Amino acid sequence: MSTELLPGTLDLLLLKILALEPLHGVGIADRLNQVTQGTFQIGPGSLFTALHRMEEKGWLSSAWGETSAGRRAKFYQLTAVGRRRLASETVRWQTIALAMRRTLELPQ
Amino acid sequence: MRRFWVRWREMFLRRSRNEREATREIQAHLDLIVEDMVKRGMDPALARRQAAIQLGGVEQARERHRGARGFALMDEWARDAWHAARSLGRAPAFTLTAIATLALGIGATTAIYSVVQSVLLDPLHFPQPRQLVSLRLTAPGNDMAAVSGKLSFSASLFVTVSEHSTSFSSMGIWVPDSSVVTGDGQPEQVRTVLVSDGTLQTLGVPPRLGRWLNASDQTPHTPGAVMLSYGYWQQRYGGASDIVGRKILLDNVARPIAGVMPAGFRLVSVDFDVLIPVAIDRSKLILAGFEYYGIGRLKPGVSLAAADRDMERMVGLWMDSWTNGAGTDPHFYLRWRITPAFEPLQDEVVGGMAPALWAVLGTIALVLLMACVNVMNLFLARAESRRRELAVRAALGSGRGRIVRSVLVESAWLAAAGGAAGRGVAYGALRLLAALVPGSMARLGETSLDGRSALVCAVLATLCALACGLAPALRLARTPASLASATAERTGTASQQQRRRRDLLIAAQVALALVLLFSAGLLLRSFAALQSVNLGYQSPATLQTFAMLNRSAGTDDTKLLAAEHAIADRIAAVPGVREVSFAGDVPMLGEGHDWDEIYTEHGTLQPTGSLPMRLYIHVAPNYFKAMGIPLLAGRDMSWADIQQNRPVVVISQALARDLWGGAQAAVGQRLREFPHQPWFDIVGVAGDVRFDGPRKPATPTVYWPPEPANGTQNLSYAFYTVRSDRAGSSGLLRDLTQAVHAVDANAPLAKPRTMDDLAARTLAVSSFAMVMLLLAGGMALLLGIVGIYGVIAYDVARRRREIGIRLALGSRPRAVQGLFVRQALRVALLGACAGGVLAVPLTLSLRSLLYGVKPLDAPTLLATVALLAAAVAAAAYFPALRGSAISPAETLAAE
Repeated sequence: MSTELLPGTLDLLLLKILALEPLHGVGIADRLNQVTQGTFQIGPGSLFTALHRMEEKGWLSSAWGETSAGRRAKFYQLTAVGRRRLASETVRWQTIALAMRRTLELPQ
Repeated sequence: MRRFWVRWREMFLRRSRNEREATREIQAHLDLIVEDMVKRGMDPALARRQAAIQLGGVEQARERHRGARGFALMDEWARDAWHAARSLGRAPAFTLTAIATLALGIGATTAIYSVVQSVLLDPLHFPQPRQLVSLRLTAPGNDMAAVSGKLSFSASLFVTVSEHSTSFSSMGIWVPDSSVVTGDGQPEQVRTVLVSDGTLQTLGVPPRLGRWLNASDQTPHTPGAVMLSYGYWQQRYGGASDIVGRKILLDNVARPIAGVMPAGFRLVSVDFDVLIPVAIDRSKLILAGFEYYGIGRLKPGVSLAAADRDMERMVGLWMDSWTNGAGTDPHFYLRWRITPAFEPLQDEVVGGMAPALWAVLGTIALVLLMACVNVMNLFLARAESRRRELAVRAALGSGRGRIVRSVLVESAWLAAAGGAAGRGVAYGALRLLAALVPGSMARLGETSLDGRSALVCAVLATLCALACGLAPALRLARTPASLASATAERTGTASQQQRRRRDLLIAAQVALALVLLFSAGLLLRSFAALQSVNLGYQSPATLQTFAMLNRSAGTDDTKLLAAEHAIADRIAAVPGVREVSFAGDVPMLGEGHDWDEIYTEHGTLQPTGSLPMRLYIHVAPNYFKAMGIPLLAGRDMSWADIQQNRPVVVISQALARDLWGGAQAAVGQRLREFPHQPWFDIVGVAGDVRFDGPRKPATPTVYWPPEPANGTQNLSYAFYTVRSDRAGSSGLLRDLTQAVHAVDANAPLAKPRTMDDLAARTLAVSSFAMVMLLLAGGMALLLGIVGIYGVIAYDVARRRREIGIRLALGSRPRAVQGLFVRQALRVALLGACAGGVLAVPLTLSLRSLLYGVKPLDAPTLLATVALLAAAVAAAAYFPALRGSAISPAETLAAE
């Protein structure tokens, strides 16, 4: 089942994915698809908009590099600010998730 | 500035670099995807298309990047501006109403601000105007000075002060006068000002040509040099550059021209053609002769109070230094209690206009406030109807800031357009004012829209934009913007909060309109009261003209009087002239009158030991008939009396009552002007005349027989009073000029004015304030009606469902209409109460302009409230009428 992203979750997902290793756009989209097992699919338009916005905010840095197949692509990686952001966003999300779960697990 | 440019360029360059970068990145991304698909066995062309579709078009993607990039903020503002302009363009009724409302408010405020600025804020175009003081004196112990509120300077007092005072760096005395210029060209009367040494030096405006008048010009026996105004230099001499040193024949005396003052220069506030030196002969100076205005420039650091104290010392010194002649007591003036009351020159110039102008500015500001409230109201209504649109936008991710901004941008557009149109309105309003109040307000004609008023206009527009846009914008941002609630609210009954807001707006508008209309009503009543005051003469179709005769060498008084009589006879023969006479002064002229003591046979001295000062005029026979002043007892003097040198005199009713208890009792009594004169028989008592306009009481007056001694040593003048149905026409004026010239070809005929004009001038300030307040009040009422109509119409539209239900449940349309009208009236009553409270300070500030009506006059207040109630009821009734015509089935079905 493919699901619409909740507002604000895309940033967190991207930060987490890029925390593992620097990736280019296609790599990010593939990784997202693979990790969430197809729950979240993201179009290139939304993806680049988000990446550029996050770069603007100083969470990411980018550099042109070569893919494993030898093609030129732009690689994104986390900055120190981005790493801190990831930590705080993770805490926030876990709080929400926990609260949601507790609510949903209430006996009928 | 340079740095700014560099930053701009950098931003642009970075922006295009960023875009190129993004394009390259997207291209690389596409290539990767395509390669991937081809690797999985897809046809390359098909793969490329698939990838492009997936990307949603490179262009669109790039568009999205732009929004994410650093330049986004500027871009968004520009887009908001464009979007706002388009959205305003789609609602022309709203847009035009809002712009017109703002333009009226901003324009009117700017216009009045310009007037206030030129009249009140900087009326003096002299260097360091704050140092300039009017040397005003008061003399509570002198009747004449007590009536006029001030005592003028005498030449001897000037000499004492200018030689001994330590307060002034310079000082001078001056008095307006008039003279006749003869010699080459038409004889003409010119406006002159007599100035002493020090007057021009005190004002400090350098001459355009030549030099200032100074002490060397006021030597007693040689005629001193004169200066010309720029205008007169242009008019009579064509701006000749060799004017300095040429001679001018003034009142038959040839004087050299010493210089020309620059364009726009006035002596304090007086327009003139020629400046003439005051001739001061120290050997002949006496204490008396209080006929000059004094001005001085304070030394730096000297306060007005210190100058006052210094002046008190001067008055003592003056009485010790001069005399009124052998046998008189120089310290007689102690009884007058001469007291300095120096004031800034500016205050004197502005005079009685200040309260009127401030009141008008205040009221116009209220109108602007009202215009803003109206536009805000329009915005709120519009915002309500856009809730759905905005809710959709919010759901699509528009932030609150974005929505607030879009409303603010719209209000900024409207305010900018309103401000621009307002400048046009201000220009028109100034022209209108100048036309409505001709020549009565000093400097009104010079008022123009300069840089400062443009700034005021811009500031007002900005404030309006904020005032109109902020409340609706915040309101939209505050309420939860969900689609569901927007839809629900649109159809539901008005919430408590919305009702309160609407009520507040109606109340505010009613309050403002009440304040303005009540003030205007008070002035209207004052004006009516002033106009119905019996001035003591019958003005319709009376013309005053002013003729001057050269008193050439050897012409004695008898011959001059005969010439003046001959002119009167010639005028009497002009077709259409019913009565004619002449006199030495005219009511309503406002140029100062003649006063003297009167001795009566059995008169008693006042407790102070002096006799009261009485106003006197020399009049020719038939004066009372020509002026339409009734004779209450006795008879008029006749030419036979004059020719046979019979000492006869007529007095006014007030004087007769003062001295003998009544008109009848006064006839046959005797009085005289000087102790050793023969007695004059009182042959008649005339009705009282209010000499200085309807606000001042009638002054006890003595009418002496005609005396040609009016005027200067070289000239004699007389005011001719002509009663004719042709008064005011140029044809009559031509005939009168011919009649005068038939007797003396060199006599200029000057200042022809009807008595109605003269009387209107005394009411100028009142009528100006009244016209302004009526305009403001009318505008407020109109804005209020439009505003209330809008609010109720909108409310009716919102409550269609409720009305439908009411009608369906059997409510009669009348009851539904009554519901809205009653609601509007109830709120209007609240507003009226608030307005009544607000009106107190304003009407109290108008007190000096009111006449015959109290500042809180109940009938005027009630009438205003009734007018407003009618307007509010009408404004609510019509939309309610439309609303109640709804068919219930239709309304309910529409939901």
